[in-house]
Amino acid sequence: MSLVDAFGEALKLIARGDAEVWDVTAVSLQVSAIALLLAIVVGLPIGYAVATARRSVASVGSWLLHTLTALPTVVVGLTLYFAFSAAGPLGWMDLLYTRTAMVAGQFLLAVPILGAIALTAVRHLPVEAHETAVTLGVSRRLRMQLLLLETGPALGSAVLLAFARIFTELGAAVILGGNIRGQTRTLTTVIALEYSKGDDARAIAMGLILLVVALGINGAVHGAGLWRGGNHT
Amino acid sequence: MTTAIDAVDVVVGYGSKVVADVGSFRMQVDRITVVAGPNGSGKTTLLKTVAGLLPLMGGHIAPRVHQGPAGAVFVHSTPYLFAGTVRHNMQIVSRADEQRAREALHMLGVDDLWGRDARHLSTGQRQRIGIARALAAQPRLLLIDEPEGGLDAEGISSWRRIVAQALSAGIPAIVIATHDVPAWDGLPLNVVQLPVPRK
Repeated sequence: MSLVDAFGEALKLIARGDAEVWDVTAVSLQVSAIALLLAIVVGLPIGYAVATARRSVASVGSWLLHTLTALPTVVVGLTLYFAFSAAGPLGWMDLLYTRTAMVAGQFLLAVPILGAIALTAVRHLPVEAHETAVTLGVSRRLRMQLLLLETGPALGSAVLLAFARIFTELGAAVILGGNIRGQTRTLTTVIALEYSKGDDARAIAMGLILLVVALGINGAVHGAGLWRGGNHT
Repeated sequence: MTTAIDAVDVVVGYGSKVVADVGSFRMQVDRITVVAGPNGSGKTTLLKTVAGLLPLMGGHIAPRVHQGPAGAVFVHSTPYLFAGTVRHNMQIVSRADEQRAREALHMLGVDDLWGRDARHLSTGQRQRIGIARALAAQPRLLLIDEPEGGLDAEGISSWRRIVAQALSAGIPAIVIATHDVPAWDGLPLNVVQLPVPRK
């Protein structure tokens, strides 16, 4: 089958509303959305805490967070695989080959990205922002929320980058999820599977959906930001 | 209530860098303490130190006024306003309920800005909001950095009326950093002159 034929077949699959195509898309979105939400709750405060820590702690924390942004997905998958396997320290949780295990993997990939960008953004806020919050007696917790929100577009970029990273990753998803049909099969894992089976049309169909969702969310959010920015000027 | 806050042999700076060896001075209740000096003489550093935003490098301040609402509150020369409305900026003050926030804005003549986007205000408006926000914190010691810098003659006269009002409204002590000692009719001033910085 030529590439053009495969592409045509892929479009037909999408247009027909092939059940597996949409199931897999839903699983991908669900796993990544939960992982992203959890990573936001954990990663942003970590970035803020490192940014506002005393110099020695901040230097080590910043180095660590930025280094971890390059964590290979396969290594995260393997590490958690050994942790969740029957003989591993978390084996009792019986999470291997579940969506929860996939969420854990994506969570670990997203936290350093969110933390590192939040850290840089908070550090680049004017010193007056920090001093004003302190002198007005804003509590520590509210100060964190206030200053993180103050970084505005940088936080939006952090969330988008983290989403793009985990939604399109394959290594951790395939190792931790096991690519089980109807359970842990995602867009990336099914693309790898169909490609290895030689079903180019199905692989391309999934690839197109992955592309549309990943680029579509990025494009829509950045477009909304540009539109709002344009309205302010 | 304490009638004066004494700063004794005060040395101020950033990190390990000494910016000014200020010496001793008194911040009296019901008076305006004017810290005057040229650029780089350490006026802002001194105010931030008294406000507790920077550590003292030498000397002591007694009685020590705690940082924040009901204590020492610092206002930047161009007050930093957070993204959002004026209302949001007023309500982040831990002691300010809506009534107190509105009263402070009313005192500064900017209560009509309540729902306005704080990032789209003029310099004069920002300055008034910044001071109103500090007043809403009901400080014992209000420290204002170069409040007359961005104001025209009318703004300066209006601002001085506000300071007089703030004193009469019960802000016990006000410290202002400025280039020149203002000719300020009718208000008791206590001047702290900082020397020209060493090169």
